[in-house]
Amino acid sequence: MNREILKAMFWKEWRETRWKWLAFAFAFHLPLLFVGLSVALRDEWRFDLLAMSDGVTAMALGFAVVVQSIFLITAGLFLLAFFAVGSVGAELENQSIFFLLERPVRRWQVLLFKYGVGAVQATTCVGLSILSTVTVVYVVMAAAATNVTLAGSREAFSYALMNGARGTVWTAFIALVVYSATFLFSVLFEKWWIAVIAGGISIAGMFYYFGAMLFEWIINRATRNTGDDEVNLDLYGQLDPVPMLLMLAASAALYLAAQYAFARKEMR
Amino acid sequence: MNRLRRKPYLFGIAAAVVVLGLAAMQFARPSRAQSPRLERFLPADAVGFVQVSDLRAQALKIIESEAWREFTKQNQAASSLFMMTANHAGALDASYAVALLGAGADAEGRRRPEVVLVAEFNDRGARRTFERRVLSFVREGGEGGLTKREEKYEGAALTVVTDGERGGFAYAQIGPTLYLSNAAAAVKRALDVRAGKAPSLETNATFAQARTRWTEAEGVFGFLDGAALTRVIDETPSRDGGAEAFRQLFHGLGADAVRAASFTSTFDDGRVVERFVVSAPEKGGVLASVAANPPTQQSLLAYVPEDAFAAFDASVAGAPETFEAMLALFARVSEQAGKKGPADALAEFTAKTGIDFRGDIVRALGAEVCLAQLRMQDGRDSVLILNLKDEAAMAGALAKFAEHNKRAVSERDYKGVTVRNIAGGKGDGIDYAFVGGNLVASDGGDGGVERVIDTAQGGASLGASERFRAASSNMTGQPQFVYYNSNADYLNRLGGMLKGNGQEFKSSGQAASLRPSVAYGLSRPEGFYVESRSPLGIFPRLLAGVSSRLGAGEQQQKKAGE
Repeated sequence: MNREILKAMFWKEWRETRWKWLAFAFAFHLPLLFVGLSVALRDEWRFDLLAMSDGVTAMALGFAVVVQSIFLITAGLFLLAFFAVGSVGAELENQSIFFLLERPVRRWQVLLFKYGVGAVQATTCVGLSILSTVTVVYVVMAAAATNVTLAGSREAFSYALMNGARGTVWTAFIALVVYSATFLFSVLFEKWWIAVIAGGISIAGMFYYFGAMLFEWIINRATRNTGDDEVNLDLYGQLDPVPMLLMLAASAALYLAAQYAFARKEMR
Repeated sequence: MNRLRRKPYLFGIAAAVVVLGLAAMQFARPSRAQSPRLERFLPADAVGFVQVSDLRAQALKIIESEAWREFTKQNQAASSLFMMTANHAGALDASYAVALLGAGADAEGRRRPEVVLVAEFNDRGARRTFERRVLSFVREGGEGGLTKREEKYEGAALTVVTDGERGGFAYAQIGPTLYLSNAAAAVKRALDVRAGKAPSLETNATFAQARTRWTEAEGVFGFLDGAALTRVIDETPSRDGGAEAFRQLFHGLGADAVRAASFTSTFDDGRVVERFVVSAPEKGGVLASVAANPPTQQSLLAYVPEDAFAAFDASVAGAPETFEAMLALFARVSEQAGKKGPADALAEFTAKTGIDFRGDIVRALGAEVCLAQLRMQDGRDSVLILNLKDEAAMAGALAKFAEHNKRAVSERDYKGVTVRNIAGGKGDGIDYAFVGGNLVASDGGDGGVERVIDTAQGGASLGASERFRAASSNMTGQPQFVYYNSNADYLNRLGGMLKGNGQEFKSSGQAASLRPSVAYGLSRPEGFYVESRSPLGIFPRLLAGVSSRLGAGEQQQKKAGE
């Protein structure tokens, strides 16, 4: 495969998925949208925003980090399943993949590009949403609240960003596993809705067995033994290499399984 | 069409836009509490009425005020959490009116004022939150020997809670409106107005005239109907002569000449402007002599050091006439009541101090008096500066006082001025000096008199200071009194006031350069006018009052839940 084909395949994947990716990036900020609408439309919420001061900025940003993280490791994973499910199945179903296979590329290369582009999109989409949420919350607070000053709250913002970055790493790893599993289903099932159901069931299963651990790794340490509505961001998302490496290994295994299935897939 | 069919998300987007639009219309509609005219729910013959409009809007103005910004710098998290607690307590979702409907008789025939609170909430949900938190608190407070009776009256659910010893209270609700009173009859009178069976306060011509001075943007509006008040006082039966004496005093003071009094409080330029207007075009009694008092020249402010914490300057040019008028009035009232008269009280004063109050003090008074609180190296000192008509008479009175009470008098010279000290039974006695035809007196040993002398001899004075000029730039007319406060201690006082509602505020050590407060009052042909500009006016008290009650109720609920 020469360099031109490589560039063309990357460009094709990017062009085909960029709007979908942007739409999902937006969807991963649903909590922000909900809070934004509430602030815009409800007096009580708007009052809370306007009553904020430098002293509660850290508290509000910590709260934003935790809420976004909870959304990502619960509803966000189902959203991710929707995002990943169309990776291969859609092209198989509408037979557009044959145009691709007619080019001088191998099957595994086609799947590698699809997986690579999709995995990067999924992990950035999920992981960065924590940092973007914190940034948006901070900008809105600084702009709207009379008693939030840039000088007085800058430290709280960088503290939230730095600690939130650990959540970014965690959720990126989790997103990679979920993406890989749904990607496999997308290869196995041409009908998107079957792949969605399979993805949903597997996410539900993952929650059943590992849900408590996900919360423990990312959130519980930061909220345990603190006062009402308080978050200790120092303890948020403490990095633990063992589960991360296991997730990486699981993702690799799922990807290889997808390659294996795709290589033997009968396409008509 | 086929293109649309291939793009089902367009239908989704259109549906979402419609839902969002409907939601926005619902939420953005002005709530009842934002446009209240609560006089519609009160009877036309109400004696007094105070309305607080849309408490949340007022709280937002507090947040944006100059004082709260400074306060927040010193009490970062606590100030925000205080406001948020108040916000979620449910009390901010409403406009409130408290009205005095008159005097009624309790079960034992004793006269007592009938007061009704009308609260109009944004919606039923907000009303229920308020009921749950406040009324349950009120109920719990009176538990034990408490009986509850419910009835329907004019379509409202009226609940009468009777407490054998304390009389109980009654409340009723219709839609988002809640009525709460210390008397069931008062709630019924208010419900009659709502049902159209009785005229409302908004039909009261005196009220309507006062209301024209109030705009929607103003937070608090108060009204007192002079005629209704006079009626209530005149109709109060006299049992032991006390009511009759009070009636005489009321008429003698000329209070019956007051047609109406109104009060407004509003935010302007990050501060609160409060205006008090008394409508009394035909003044009589003591009120007439007070009205005839000429304006203050504010000349004594030239003796107050520039960095003074506070100063009050008033004209006393008409003091002898007012004194005589009050003396005559009290003499009549005490004679009627068969009690000691003012002549006896003055004789007692002379016996105790050796001073003839009328002859030595009142007659020696000049045109102006000033009371100031000065900044000293180790704290503060209060100083009285009294303009004199007869300096020798006042000096004689002070000498008589020292002699009569066997107090030692010492003298010292300060920059060519003789400062005398009358030793005190406790502490350092009183320092005094005569400066420019004025008596200057302060606590002994604190140095207040010396600071005034420094100012008189060329030091920077408050009267000539830019701070005072800027603060009093909105003053119109010629005031009879002026009050100035540097607000150097305002944040500490605010912290002390708000303390104890679950948040810890600093009540000492907070320094901020807030703009000074200024209040002034003057007599006009149509009555009296008082205006003040201060950091937050009455609002902190209002908010602290509401949130402390709710905070306590909420804490009790939490404990019960635990």
